[in-house]
Amino acid sequence: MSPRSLPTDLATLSLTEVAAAIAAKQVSSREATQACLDRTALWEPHLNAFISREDEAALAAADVADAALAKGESTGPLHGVPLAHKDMFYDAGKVCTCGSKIRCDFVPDTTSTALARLKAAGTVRLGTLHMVEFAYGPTGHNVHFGDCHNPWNVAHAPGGSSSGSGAAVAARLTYAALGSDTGGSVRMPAHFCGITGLKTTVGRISRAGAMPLSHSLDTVGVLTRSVEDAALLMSLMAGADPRDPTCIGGPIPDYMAATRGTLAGITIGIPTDFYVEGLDGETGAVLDNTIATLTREGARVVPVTLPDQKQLSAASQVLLSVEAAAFHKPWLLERPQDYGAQVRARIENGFAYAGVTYMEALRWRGPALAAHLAAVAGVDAVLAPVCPSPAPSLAESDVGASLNAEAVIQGITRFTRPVNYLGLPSLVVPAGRASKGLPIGLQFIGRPFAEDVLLRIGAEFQRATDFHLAMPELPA
Amino acid sequence: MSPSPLAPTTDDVAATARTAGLALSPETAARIAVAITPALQTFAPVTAHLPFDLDPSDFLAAQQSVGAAK
Repeated sequence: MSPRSLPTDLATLSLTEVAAAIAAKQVSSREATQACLDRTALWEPHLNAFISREDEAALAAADVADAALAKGESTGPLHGVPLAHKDMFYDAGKVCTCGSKIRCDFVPDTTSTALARLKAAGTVRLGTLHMVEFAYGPTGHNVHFGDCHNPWNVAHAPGGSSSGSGAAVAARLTYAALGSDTGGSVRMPAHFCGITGLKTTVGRISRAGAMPLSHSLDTVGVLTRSVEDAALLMSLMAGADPRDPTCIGGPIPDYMAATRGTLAGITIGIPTDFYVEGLDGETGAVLDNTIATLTREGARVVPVTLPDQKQLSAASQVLLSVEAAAFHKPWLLERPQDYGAQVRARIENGFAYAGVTYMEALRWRGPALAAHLAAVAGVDAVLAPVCPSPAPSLAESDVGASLNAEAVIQGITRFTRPVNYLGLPSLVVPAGRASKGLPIGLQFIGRPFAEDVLLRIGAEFQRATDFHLAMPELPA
Repeated sequence: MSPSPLAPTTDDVAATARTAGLALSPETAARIAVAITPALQTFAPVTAHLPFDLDPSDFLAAQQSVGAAK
């Protein structure tokens, strides 16, 4: 990017653009950080996207980064780039609330591996982002910190549980953000807020030092303004970690190189049922238009008949419920009043499953994945909606602990949970716009550890479209 | 007629939770029964036909199998 092409508002640069501009000394870290802080000052009263803000510390860190660069000392590919993340990634010595009252003053003595790898690449900490209490909910409500709002329409939900990550990246308050996805928590806010979101394969990125919800299903993911930005973060975070033995070793694909590929030779599967049922008209139209775009850009599009996705969802619910209950049991028994009503109710659900049922859900995972892989033989990615509709209003999705709450939540996440059970990667890209200005994203569901293929597809889609470049306007 | 084991009663839920260490009010147990019954009913056909020689680690094997690549 040449100096003349820099935008007036530096906060609107992409992650890769601002990192390159800082490295080339076209922009200082202080200028980039101040731009994010200025924009946050305008937007935050409308969004409530941050749990903590560290403006002065961020500027001081930016000055340190600038001084280092002036001496020819670059820390890494994200030198001086200001970022904020979902408030569940431990940063030693810093309060990490996990969106909860219970951990409102929790100070970890360790740093999450994912966060540490980004810090080692040179990032500046802006603060921490809003999230659903203990990452247990898909909408963005939080009784302890107040609800987070969708920047495209503040009466609507931003999606959760990485609610602040979705809202802040979409409003250009941070250049990117970490999130987590156990049942859709990266993909839902990416879809609702009109940004790029990558849920990674189970075992691709270390979960060490990230708040657990379900050890079988938890994954670290990223929310970004472009697929290229997601690739950059992946290239910094992916790989084995002795602190998380479930994290797979071996060679890591060149994610940035993957974004320069085309759709030639790529085969996209379109589900013949389940994911195409019950869609609202606008979401269905976006799916059709996306298929047309992919075909025009050279992809081969074929129908695929997938195994019963409802059974995968049910198994996913069993694992999530029981594992969350086990993590939370001591707090639930000692201080149940300190949970929000909905999260407490969902944790209680996990105590009512029989142990045998839980083990059956664990034992079926292997054959279920094998059956899925057989169904998608020859297919690089399956294209599917993230949700049957755009973001619901905060009011209509505020179901609390009502009798039908679990059914409503399961309905919102019905297209995301099967992917979690199978442990697959999934890339969400903005693909259209609905009435009320709300974005619509679609997900490309990949093969295990094939994030590079998803990034290739997504990057080419973003070269052919401009949905990811759209920015919400500041509410009056 | 006894209730279907796939649709746990309030008493079933309360008993299972109690063995896991959580005492529930009848109202809470009734809510939970409503919340978990759909998942149990949907998953039941799977559990009826699970092969004997299955291990949770088969998931990792499937993830890293030749079939996982295109």
